[in-house]
Amino acid sequence: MKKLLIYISVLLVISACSKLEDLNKNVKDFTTVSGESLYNGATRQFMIQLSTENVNANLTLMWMQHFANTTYPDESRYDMTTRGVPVAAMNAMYRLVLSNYKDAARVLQDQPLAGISQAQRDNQLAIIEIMSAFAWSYIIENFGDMPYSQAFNIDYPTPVYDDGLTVYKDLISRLDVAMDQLDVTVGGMPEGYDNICGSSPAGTMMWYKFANTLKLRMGLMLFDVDAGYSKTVAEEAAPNVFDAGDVMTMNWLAEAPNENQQFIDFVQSGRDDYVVTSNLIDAMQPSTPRPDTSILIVTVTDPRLKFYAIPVVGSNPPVFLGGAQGQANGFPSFSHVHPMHLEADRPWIISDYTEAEFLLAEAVERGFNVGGSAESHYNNAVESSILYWGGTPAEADAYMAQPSVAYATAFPNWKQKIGTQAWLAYWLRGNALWNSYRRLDYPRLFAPPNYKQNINKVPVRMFYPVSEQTLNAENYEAASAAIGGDSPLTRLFFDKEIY
Amino acid sequence: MINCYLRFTAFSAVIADFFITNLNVKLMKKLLLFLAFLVLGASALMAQARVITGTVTSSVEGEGTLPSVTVVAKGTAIGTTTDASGRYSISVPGNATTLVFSFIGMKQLEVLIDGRTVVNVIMEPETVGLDEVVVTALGISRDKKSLGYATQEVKGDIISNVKTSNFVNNLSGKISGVQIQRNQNMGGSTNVIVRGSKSLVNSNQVLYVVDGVPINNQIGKYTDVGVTSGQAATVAGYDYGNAASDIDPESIESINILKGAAATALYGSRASAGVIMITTKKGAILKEGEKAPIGVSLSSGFTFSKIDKSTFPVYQDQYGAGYGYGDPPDFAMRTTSGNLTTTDPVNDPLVRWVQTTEDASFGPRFDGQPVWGWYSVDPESPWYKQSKPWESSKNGPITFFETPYTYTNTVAIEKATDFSTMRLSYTNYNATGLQPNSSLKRNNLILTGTWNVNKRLTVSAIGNYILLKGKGRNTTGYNGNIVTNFRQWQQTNLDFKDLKRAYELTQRNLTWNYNSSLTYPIFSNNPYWDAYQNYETDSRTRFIGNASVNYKIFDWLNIFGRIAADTYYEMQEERRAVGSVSMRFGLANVPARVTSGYLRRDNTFSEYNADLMLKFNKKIGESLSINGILGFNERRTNNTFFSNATNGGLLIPGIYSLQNSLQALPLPLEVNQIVGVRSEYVSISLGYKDFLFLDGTYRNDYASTLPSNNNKYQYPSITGAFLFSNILNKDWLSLGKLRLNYAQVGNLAGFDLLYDVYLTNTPMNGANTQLAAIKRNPNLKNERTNSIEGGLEMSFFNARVGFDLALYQTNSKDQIIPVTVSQTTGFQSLMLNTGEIQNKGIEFTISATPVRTESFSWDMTLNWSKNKNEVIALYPGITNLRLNSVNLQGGVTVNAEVGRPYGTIKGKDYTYDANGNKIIDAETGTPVITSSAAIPIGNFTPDWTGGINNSFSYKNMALSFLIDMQKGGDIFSLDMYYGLSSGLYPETAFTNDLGNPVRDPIVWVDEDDHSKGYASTSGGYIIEGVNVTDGVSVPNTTRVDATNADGFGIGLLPHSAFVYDASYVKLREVVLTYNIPSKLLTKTFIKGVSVSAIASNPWIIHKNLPYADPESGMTAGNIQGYTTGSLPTTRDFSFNLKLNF
Repeated sequence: MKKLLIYISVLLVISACSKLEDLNKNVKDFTTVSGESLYNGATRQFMIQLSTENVNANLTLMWMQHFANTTYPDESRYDMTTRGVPVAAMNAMYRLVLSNYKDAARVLQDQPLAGISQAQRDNQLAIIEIMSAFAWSYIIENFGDMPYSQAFNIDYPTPVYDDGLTVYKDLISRLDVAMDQLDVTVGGMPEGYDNICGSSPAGTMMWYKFANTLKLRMGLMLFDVDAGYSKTVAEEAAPNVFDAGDVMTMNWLAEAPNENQQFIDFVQSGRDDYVVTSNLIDAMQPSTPRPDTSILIVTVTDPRLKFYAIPVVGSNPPVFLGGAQGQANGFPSFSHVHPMHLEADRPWIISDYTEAEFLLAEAVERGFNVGGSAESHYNNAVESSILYWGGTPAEADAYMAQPSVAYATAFPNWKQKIGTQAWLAYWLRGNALWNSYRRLDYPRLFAPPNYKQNINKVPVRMFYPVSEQTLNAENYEAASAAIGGDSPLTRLFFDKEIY
Repeated sequence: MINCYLRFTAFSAVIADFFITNLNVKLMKKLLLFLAFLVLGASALMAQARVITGTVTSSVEGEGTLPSVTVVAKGTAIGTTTDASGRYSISVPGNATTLVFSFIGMKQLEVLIDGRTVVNVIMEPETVGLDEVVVTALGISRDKKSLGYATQEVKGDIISNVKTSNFVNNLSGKISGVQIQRNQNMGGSTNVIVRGSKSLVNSNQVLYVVDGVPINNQIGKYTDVGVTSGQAATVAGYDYGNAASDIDPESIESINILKGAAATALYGSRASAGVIMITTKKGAILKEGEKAPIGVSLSSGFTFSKIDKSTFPVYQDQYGAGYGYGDPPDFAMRTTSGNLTTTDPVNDPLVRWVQTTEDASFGPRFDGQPVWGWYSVDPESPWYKQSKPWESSKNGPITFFETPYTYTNTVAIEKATDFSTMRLSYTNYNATGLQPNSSLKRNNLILTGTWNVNKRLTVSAIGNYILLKGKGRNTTGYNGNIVTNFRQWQQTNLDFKDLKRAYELTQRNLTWNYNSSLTYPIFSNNPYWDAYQNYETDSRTRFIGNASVNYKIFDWLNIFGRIAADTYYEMQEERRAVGSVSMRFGLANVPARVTSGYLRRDNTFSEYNADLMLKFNKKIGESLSINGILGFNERRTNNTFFSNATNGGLLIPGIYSLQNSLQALPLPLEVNQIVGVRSEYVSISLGYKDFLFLDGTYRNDYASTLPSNNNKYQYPSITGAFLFSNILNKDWLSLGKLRLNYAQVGNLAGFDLLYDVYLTNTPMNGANTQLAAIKRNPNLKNERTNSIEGGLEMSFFNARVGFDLALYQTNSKDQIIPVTVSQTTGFQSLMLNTGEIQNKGIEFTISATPVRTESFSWDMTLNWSKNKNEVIALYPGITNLRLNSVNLQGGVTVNAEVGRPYGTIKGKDYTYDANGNKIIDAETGTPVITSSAAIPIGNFTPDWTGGINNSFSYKNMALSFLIDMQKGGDIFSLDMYYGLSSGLYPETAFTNDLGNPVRDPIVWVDEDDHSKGYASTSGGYIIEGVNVTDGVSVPNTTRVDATNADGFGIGLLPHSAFVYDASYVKLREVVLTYNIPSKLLTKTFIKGVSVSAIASNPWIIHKNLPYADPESGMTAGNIQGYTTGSLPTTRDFSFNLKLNF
């Protein structure tokens, strides 16, 4: 009995003992992290979304008819809902990218300088701001009106959609502020945290040029809707865009999970999901008979063809043959992507001198005062593209001399001249292709025959994510009405021409 | 601050010390003695005999004497039966003290011999259910008649009859209000939902309580480890079963199911989904002066299983591999070496090759002519460079499966004295699965003992040691699941005996599914490679035990203390051998596709409960009884989880270790969770004159997982029972009882839901972090469930007929759930207290004994229940909650939508005209499908479930059969969604309305003028529906082209076309038992022998889901109503032998 009383008293002691809530501490996870690490993670996610051609995430290389499917042609027939591509894109950009950029900036602002200068900290914040503007432009260009002013605020679980044009203009002014903040004499992110431009002052200079190139592009995007504004913006940006030789890339690593996306989807997967399309290959080499839909007829083979793709395996003599857009294509029967693009640590182009020159050519044609002639910018762009991908100067000259490529004779319409060559140059850059296509409306791409239950024209925007229909229904309805209907064929504010 | 946990541990040490010093030494001595007895033979115990005679009569008027009554000297093997005039004569050993009389339909009677030589007895009819004692919350035995809530009991032998890996399966159809959904996975998890789903996203699984102490029922599936988004389906991986299946069915004395919140209020939050109370076999302490020998029992069971072919695909036998694209669909042309071009067309011509890349059967028609294929590729293949005839497979996927065998052996020894009892049992369970190279082994060693130290002090303890080993469990889900291939992605020309031979000869991955360069697998491995090389292994070592002390302070007051532990360590290892198909494997934060790898998980779980109870029981005057409990409970649950996997593949083939990683190891997954709850509760029961009973409980919980200013919550219950039969006193009314109760249950939050954390990913040069997907919430409060229940229980004519009816409603509110929000908020979900689910239901049990004669009786039980579930509210502005956090392959979602029952399946649907006809596109002949994939197309909650059990006994023979059924509930079949499009099933190769093969091309009378209609040779088929032009509907006459994979399935029809009614009627169980008459055994030392033959799941009488079992959808959890690649259902035949010594 005495013993028992002891036990009881022990139990009662337990009942009165220390605070249980202390048990609820998560001893394994972080409650605070550095701003740089958030920036690094968010940038990686952004680059995955931008550079992947995975059927679950980004279909622009198929929509722009560079890639055709093999066994399962659904996505090249513009089916974007079965695999929830709009949901994946929105979730990645908002939650994985922009929300983390926002938090990275918040953390960095309060983070002790710890040996770096305030100027470098300001550069870090400016880099985050430039990437944020870039990421936002991706969202607006994909969908149109989207939540912006009320995004990332849990007081607004159902954020309103803001007008796309208003947001777009705000992004340009944010870019201006960020560029002003950049000090190109000091570096940016610490060593290892910027896998795009690196941490040196030279890297900061690249960020500055990129911001201007992006601004130039965004300015040009608005020509159809606000020509005056477009001109001002483009002319401000033009002097400071990329120079000859500049190529800004995402520098993937050789080890999992940070490899190049094409390596992951083409090599690591062991799958054979894509071949290069006949649209692209037929536009890069002379052949007879010509398909009457050919985008470009050349007499001199495009020097880039042998670097983009490989001849049909086992063909003798080697022939390049493209698969049919929107059809199931037998993998062995057609040309595949060149293996050099499928290396694990192959860098992926975010933007470059080629793009800057195409944009400047366009700016000249639009009547903007950006210096140079359209032809010189065009020639610079085509030549730099050929040289970058591996062609020789002689090859470039021969290619550019043929009448269907030479600026003076290529096409009657400048939009077709620039649009067609940009379409050939922006290899593996689906969103750059899509933006160029929607702005210039060339090359003319048509929906494949034999589609079923899908849309019958090349998409010019993405459906709003299905999840918004249930999670943010009221605002979704309003936004759909505001942009003219939630359809992939609804032309967004920057995209006026219809063919 | 002193660590509370340390003190707690110290306390258990004191208790353990007490037991070791006072109890175990004595009991161990006795145990050794028992073992010695065993060796010497129990018959040695027999001493000088004497003869006792007597007559047995019935208490029922007019029945007179009773023949065939079994009379046994208690504690011995000696027995006899009464003759035609009810007389008996028995020779008993000198030390026999008691005679036991038993007879079907009569209460068993024990009579002290007390020196007499003539013992006449009167037996009373058994009034079933009247004086039943059931085990209720906290392990307290109560008179069933005094309970104000519904309980239902099942006896242990019913559970142990069928030797399954999971004893819960054997409750299916036997209890009303409980939905038990099993799958066919070896050692797989069983979904047990009592009275409907109450939680939106947290577990809805029933709580398992063994001898008064809750045990862990973690469901071993890892949806977020080793799986990433993209194409992954829910639960890609293995079904590691639910942890409660560790319980040895042979050790179960009885199971009692507490269904409502009133019954469960005393377990607090975790019991809000109902409780399965398990009482284990212990033996009873004898009356003073009584003696009994050692009881030894042996039980042995053998089971073999056969596939129920109605749950496996039937394949079309006319066309082979291909997708049918191209015109006409054709073979690949290669040389016999597999080259696509030839340099010598004469000697090395191009020949027909099966397209190994094509995992569908929309290819060329079988013609019996030679064709080369996967078997011709490898120099080590027996068919290298050789052809085989192009024909339908003679050995289809079903040949892959093996006959599962199960062996179960149990030995138990038991000894009771008048101051103690002790039982030791050991069970060995050994099973093989349907898949080659699969096995499941379980060992249970249980020691229980109770010791009355003196008249006031009782101590008891139970220890259960469990060792579980699994190997080669079948994969589940969409990705990497062998059976998904069988049901969705298959070539009907594949001969599985060839695949087996190719693997066995080479021990390499000679796959049917080579890439186009014939070098490595593109989507699928050789299935035998998967089974023999890419297998998993797992083990769980577990201890469940408790020690308790009861001290009788006064006759009316007891103090009871108990320490209980449930601890286990489990390890799971998953393998991909070098040379396998590239697929996602490894940790979720390294979502890489690899062709080889190794992953391990180490999971340690422990739960400790300390209970202290003051129990009192007092009569006040003649008519009022009062008893009650004042209790304290302290609980700690601790879970540590560690997992890592190789990165980029294995360095050296065949070595499965983390060191063998090709690239640097990724950051591991580490989890360490502790939850503590401290509770005080009081329970008072009042009884008035044996007909009016009133119970009240009140509990206060203090939980570690809630914010410190809001972490205590209280909840009451009140129940009443009115036994009106005790007032009416009618002969025909054996029992009449009205029940009513109201209860609340509070529930705590999960671990670490209050403050935000960041995720760390593999560095990309610099560190790489991100915000967590769920926004945590520092202002959480407890969840709450309110329930009200009424019931009527009546039985008539000596309990020959009776029923038990219950009506209930529960409302579960303020649920702590991650509310999925638009990710434009920056989060996937916000952790909130919100939402309400209501369950209303009716359940009844009818039991009857239509025939009861001396030697024959027929008993019937019918269980039926209907639960109406409705999601009342989610969060302001949000009307839908998606339950599947990972995308389900195929794009359907499983949801909780306001105003609908839990489990709404959503996807795309047909569109309809004003008259409800399906709209068909006049140009293509294909249905016009909604663009939204958020259309409700089904719901997994069944309308009702029921079971009918009939048992017959004739003399020593008993036969029973159980019919189990479910009405309603829907299931989406990914198998049909893809399998039809892949052209696997006969539904894709029929003769069309024109008498032509449906896969023939569409032919017009005039290609340029379609108005002349189709030629009589046309293929294709017409989908019934209407073409709508300017609002006018005309019947559709446009044919669908069925020459390729777009002609059926996914390419053509909306999700709703693949939603099936999950109703079923099953003959669940047939049991035939024969007890060898004890008089045949009187000359032996064996006391009883029983043999039984059981057929489990012998016949699916009715179902609507083609080629699969509607029960076999997913592993246990909240995502149901979706099936992909499930194993076929087996018919299990068991033979059991039980011996008592």
